[in-house]
Amino acid sequence: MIKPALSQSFSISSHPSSTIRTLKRLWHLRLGILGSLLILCLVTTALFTPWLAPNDPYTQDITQRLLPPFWMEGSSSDHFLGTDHLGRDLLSRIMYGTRISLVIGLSAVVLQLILGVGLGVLAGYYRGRVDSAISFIVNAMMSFPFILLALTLVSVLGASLQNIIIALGLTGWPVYTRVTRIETIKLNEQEFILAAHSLAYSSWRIITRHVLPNMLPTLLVLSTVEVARSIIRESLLSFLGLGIQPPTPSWGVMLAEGRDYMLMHWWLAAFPGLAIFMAALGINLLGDALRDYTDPHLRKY
Amino acid sequence: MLAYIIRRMFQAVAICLVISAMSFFMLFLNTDPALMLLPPEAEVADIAAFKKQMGLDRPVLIQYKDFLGRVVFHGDFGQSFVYKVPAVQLIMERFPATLRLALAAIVFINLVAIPVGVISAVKRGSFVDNIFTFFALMGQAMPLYWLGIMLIIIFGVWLRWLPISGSDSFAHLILPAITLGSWILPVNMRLVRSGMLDVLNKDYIRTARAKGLPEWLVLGKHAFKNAILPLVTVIGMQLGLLLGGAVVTETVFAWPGMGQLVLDSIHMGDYPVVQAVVVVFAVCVVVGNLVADILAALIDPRIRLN
Amino acid sequence: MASKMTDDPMLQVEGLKMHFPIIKGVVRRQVGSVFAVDGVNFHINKGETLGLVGESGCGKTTVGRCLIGLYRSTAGSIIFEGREVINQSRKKMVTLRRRMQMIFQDPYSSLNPRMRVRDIIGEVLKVHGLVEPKNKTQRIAELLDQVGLKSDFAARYPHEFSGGQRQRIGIARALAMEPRILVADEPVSALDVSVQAQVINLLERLKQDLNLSMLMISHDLSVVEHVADRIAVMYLGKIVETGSDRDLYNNPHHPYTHALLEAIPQPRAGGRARRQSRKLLGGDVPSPIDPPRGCYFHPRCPRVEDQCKRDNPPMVEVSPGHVVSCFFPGKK
Repeated sequence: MIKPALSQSFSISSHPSSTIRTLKRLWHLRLGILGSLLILCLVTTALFTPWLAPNDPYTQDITQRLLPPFWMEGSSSDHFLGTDHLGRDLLSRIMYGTRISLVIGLSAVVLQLILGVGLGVLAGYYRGRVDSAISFIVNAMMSFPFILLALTLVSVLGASLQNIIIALGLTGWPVYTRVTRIETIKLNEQEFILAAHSLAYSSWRIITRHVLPNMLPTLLVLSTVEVARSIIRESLLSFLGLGIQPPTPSWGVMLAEGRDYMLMHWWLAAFPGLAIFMAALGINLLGDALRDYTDPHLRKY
Repeated sequence: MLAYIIRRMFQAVAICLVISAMSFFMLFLNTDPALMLLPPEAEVADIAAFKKQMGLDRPVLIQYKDFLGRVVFHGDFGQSFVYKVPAVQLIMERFPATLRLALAAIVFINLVAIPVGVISAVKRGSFVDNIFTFFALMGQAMPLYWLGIMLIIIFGVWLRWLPISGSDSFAHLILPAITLGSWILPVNMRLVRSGMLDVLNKDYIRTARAKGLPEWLVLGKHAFKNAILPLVTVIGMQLGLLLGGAVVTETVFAWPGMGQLVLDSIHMGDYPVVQAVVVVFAVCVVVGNLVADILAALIDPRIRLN
Repeated sequence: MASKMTDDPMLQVEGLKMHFPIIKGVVRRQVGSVFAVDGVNFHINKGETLGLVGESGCGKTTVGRCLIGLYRSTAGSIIFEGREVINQSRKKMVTLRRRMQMIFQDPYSSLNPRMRVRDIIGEVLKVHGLVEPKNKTQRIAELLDQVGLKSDFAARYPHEFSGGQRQRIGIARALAMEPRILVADEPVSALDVSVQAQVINLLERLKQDLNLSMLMISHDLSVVEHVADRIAVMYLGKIVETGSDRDLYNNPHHPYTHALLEAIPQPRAGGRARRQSRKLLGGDVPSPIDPPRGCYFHPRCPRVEDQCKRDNPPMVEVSPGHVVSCFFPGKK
C-alpha cells in the first residue's frame, strides 16, 4: 500500500541526523512503555479489586471521617489515602471506581464502533445520497457540544449505568464515521478493491474481507483514544450529578463529593481526579505509541 | 465562491433545524412531556388541562411545527416554570457572562499556544520542545473540572492569590479562563508547531535565509504569518468545544453563565429553558463553523472544490 | 462497422461511451461532462491480442474498466462471446463477465496487503465454486506454477514479494477465474525495466498456452509492439487508427500515430536505449470536458486544414483491416 519512494523522501527531509532520530524513537518508545505500565496497573486493579482493596468501599464509620492521607498528621494506618465525609476508605473507593470507569469506557467504545464504523463504511462505500445523508448527520452531531447532548439524553433516559453507556455511545460515534468514511474512500481507490469488484465479489464480502481489515490499525488507535475520552466523559457526567449515582464509587461521583470539602480536605478531590488523569494519560500514551507503530507517516516531525 | 457560501448557509440552517428537532423530540423519548414540563406535584386534572392548553394532545409533528414557528418568528421558547419568566429572558441575562468567559479563554489559549508552538518548531527536537510536547500530552488527558478544582485549591486556598468563585472582577476571570482554555490549548499548540514546521521547510524560507536575512526577520515576517493562518479558521470551529467546556467550568467556579443555567435547568426539569439553551448553543456553534469555513475558503481556494 | 472481421470475434465493442458528470453549484446540478470515452468501436478475435495505445488521460483505462464492469458505461454495446453484457441484471452480468478478467497497473496496490497469497487466489476459487474445496490447495499451486512462482510462496503476504512477483500473483488471481479475455491495463509500467520483459513474456506465453485473447492497454508503443497482433490508437476518447501491428508500424496513416512512433526510443550505438521526450507534438492534450470542434486532434496536427476545424473526420479504410479517422490520411 505504501510506496517505498514515499517513505524514502520522507525520512530524508524530516530528520537531519540519525542520532536525533534514534533518540526521538527511544523517547517515543519510553512514553509508550509508561502508558502500557499505567494501563497494566489500571487493568490489574480493575480485575483484582476485591482482593487488593484494603477496605470495603461502602462501609461508613463516622468516627473515622475526613482522615488525611498517610503522610499527614492525624492519619490512620488503616486508611492509606484517608477517608471521606462518611468515613469510607478513599483508596478502596478509588480502586473500585477503576472497574466502573473501564466497564463504561469499553462498552461505550464498542457501541460507538458498531454505530460509527457501520455508518462510515456505508457512506464511503456507496457514496451518493447515502453519503450526503450520513455526512450531514455527522456534521450536525459534531458541531454540537457533546456534553449538552449527553446531559439531555441522560436526564431524559434516567441516570443508570446502562443509560450512561447508551448516552456515551449515541453521542460519540460521529468521530468513527468521519474517519471510517475517509478511509473507505481512500481504500476504494486502491486497485485491490477494483480487483475485488472485477472478480464479482459481493459488496458484503468486499466490505468485510477487504475494506474493514485494512482499516483495523486506524480503528485500533482511534478506539484506544476514545476509551480514554469515554472515561473522562463518564466521570464528567457523574461529577455533574447526571451519571453514576452515589453511593456507587465512580471517580466522578467522588470528585463531586470531594469538591464540597476541598477548602479543608483537598485530598478528597485531588486523588479521584488524579486517578482519572492517570488512566486517561496511560491510554493516550499507548494510543500515540500504537499510532507511531502502525503508521509511521503520522509521526510527522 | 458565492455558490459555496450559499451552500454552506443552507447546510447551517439545516443543521440548526436538526438540532432543534432533536432537542424537541428528546422530550418524547420515554416519558409524557406534560409530566416533564409540569412540576411533579401536579394533579391528574391539571395535567389534562395543561395538555389541552399547550396543545400536547395533538400529533407530535404538528406540535413540532408550532414549536418551530414560535421559536423562529417570535424567539419564544415558552416560560421557565421555575423562574416563571420567558426562557429567552433568562438566556439573555446569562449570555454575557458566558461570552466573557469564552473570549478570555480564547485570548489565553492563543497567548500561550502561539509562542510555545513557534518556539517548539524553531527548536525542534530540543529539550524545550520535548517538554512542551509532554505538557501537551498531559493536557489532553487532564479532565478540566479536576484541573479547575486543583487550581482553586492551589491558587485560591493555599496561596490565596486569586478568588475562587464569582465573577465580579478581572481576577475572578483568570482561573476559569485558564481552566476552560487548557482543554484546547494542546491542540492549538500542535497546530502552530506543525504549521510553522511546514512553512520552515518551504523554498521561500530557504531563499530568504540564503539571501542572508537575519533569522528573526525570516521567522517573523515570512514564516510566522503563514503559520498562524490555520488558527484563524480553527477558532470558529472550537466555539462548540468552548461552549461545552463552559458548562463544566461554570459549575466548578460558580460562574453565572448559560452553562450553569442549563445544568440547573436539567436538574430541575425546567425543559423550556433546556430547549432554549440547546438551540442557542447550536446556533452559536453553527455560525462559528460557518464563519470558519468561509474564512478557510477565502484563504485557501482549494477547500471550495471539495 | 468500419473494420470487417475475419473470423468470429471474441469481443465486439460498438459505440462505447463513458461520460462522467461534473457537478457544481448550490443545488449540485450537473453542469457538464468529462467525455472520457466518446464512441469507441473495436473487436478482438479469438486468441488475438489487441493493443490499445494513447497518452495518459486519453480514456484507455476507462475503456478497460467499462469492459470489466467497473464503470457503468453511458452508451454503446459490448458483445462478449455473442452476448450483450451491458444492462444485464447483476447476477447475469457476473456469469457473463467472469471470463473477462483484468490485470492491474500497480502491483503494490492491487493485492490486499492483509491476505496471504493462498487466500487471495483461494478466495476467487471459493466464491465462485471453481474447484472442489479439497482440491483448492492443489489448484492454487497449479496457478502459481503457471505464472512461474513456487507453490510454497502461497503462505506469504504480498509485502514479501518484489513488484514483478506481485504482478505474477495478480495474473494468477485473474487466471483463477478461467478467463477467455485478459484486459491488461499498463501491466508493466509500474515495474523496473529489467522485470518488464519477463512479465510481458509471461503474458505472451499464457496467451499461447491457454489460447487467451487479450486487450493490452499501454501508453508505450514499444511495450505493445512485442505482444499485439493488432493495434488501436486512441486520442481524447476516440480511436483514431486501427490496423495490424505491421501496417501501423510501417505505414501509419494518422498524424498522431506517426508522432507516437517517432517518440519510440531508438537504440544508440554502445548505449542503452533512452526514452526521448514524448512531447514531439506541440501543445497539450485538449480537455476532455470541452473537446475542440471538428477533428479532436486538429489543434496539435501538423497537417491541419480548414476542414479539420469544422467537421468530424470519417473512418476510412486505407487497406483491408487498416482504418483511419483522418481527412488527409497518408504517410508523411
